Amino acid sequence: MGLISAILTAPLAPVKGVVWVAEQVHDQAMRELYDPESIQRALDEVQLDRELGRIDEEEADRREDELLERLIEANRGGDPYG
Amino acid sequence: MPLHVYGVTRADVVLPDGLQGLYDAPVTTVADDGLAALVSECPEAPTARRAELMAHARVLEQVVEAQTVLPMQFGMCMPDEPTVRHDLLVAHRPRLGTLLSELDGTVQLTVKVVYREDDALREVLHRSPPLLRMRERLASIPADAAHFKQAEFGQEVAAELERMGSRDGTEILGALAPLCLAHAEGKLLSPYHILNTAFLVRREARTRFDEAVGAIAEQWNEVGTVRYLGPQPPYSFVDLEAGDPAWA
Amino acid sequence: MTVSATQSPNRYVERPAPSSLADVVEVILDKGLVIDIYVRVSLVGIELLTIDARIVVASVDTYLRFAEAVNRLDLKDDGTSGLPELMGDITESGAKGKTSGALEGVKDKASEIFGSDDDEDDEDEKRPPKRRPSSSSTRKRSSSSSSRTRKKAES
Repeated sequence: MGLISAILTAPLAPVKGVVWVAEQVHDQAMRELYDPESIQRALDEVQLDRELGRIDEEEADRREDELLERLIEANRGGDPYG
Repeated sequence: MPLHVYGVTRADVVLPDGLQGLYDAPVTTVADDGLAALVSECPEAPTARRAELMAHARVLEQVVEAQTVLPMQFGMCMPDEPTVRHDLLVAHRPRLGTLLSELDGTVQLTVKVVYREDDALREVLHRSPPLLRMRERLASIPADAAHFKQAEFGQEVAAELERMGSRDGTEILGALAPLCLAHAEGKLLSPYHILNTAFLVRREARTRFDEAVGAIAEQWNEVGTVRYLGPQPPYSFVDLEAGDPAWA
Repeated sequence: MTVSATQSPNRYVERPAPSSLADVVEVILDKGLVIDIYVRVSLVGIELLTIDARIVVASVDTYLRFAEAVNRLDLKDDGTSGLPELMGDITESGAKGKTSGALEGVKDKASEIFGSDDDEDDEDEKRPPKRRPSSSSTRKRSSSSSSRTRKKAES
């Protein structure tokens, strides 16, 4: 089940609740960023954008460099925050 | 100086003139008793920028045009020639020899088929008049009331898309499989990806395979795009563990 | 597009295209021969962008996006998809046999979601699918590792 529905059905912890949710959202976002499949998908999209002329070479290269950096980091054994 | 290793071939390999690899360094060989490793000098640990990754692939693709080469994973960096000789060629001689024999006369060709989002969704509606009517009904419901129904509708669309993709992917694979020695399925990264398969094909069967891929591209042209790569070294058909080949 | 094709008299021949970075990354970083102790790849040292806290909620958000994508499709007013009908060897009964199960399922779901209705559903049985469906099979999605298929030697 999705993250939001999991949070909503969990027992409420009124005082810490907001902070806890924020942490969960952040952790999930980090996992998503360092997931090799997401990175691969993003690389495919950069290539498509390049081919269709949606972005220029410089922007495409910049995005690819960033994605490669994340990919190498991810391949070292999960995300650095995991 | 450390050596970046690209792959392993038979020692009688003929390299293209002026072949360059990472950092524009010349590609040379380190040979041992009938086997050769393709190497070039490189810094301690190569960076994984576009230039380095593409250089690694390009070296392999240039060599595979004419002869069999077992590709190394990117980033294999060995300190010197004796290490390459002993820790790669000698240590793994039986397996390397077996792979070179089994893969002799073959290349890898990769076929990826991806639906175009709008065209595929139109096809889903075309195949499913009930979904089309659901869409019409949803359009007439006020947005705030429709939220939950929209999610259910989306779920139905996703399911039908999955069914359609599965059928199409299977049909495409069925058309190409008889023309290869082996195939290896890769990851499908979204519901719109319907095929991502590496095919091991005999060199002399390449034209026939090209034609089959052409027919597929034409037949699926209205809903999707075919990406056809090769000739590649047999990335998906090598490993250093002894085991049965994917083809007998 | 990256693929190049030539139109020969009878056939549409596809020539393989050079690999893009995305294609290369997919094969050289986790396929090929490897001796673990000698794998050395250094980081480029790029300043990574700060986290954008947008997340994908697996179930509801994904389905909403499908619904949204379908809702904004540009269709012809007569409710057809606007795609030309293919002439081909589609056997209507074969197609009907294979797809009617799926259509039935959707029809029931539609009644669940919207309550009541319809006599207008009779028309769906007459519409042939555009492509000859092959036999159904299960496929693994991205969570599976790649698998090799054993087959007998090519004749």
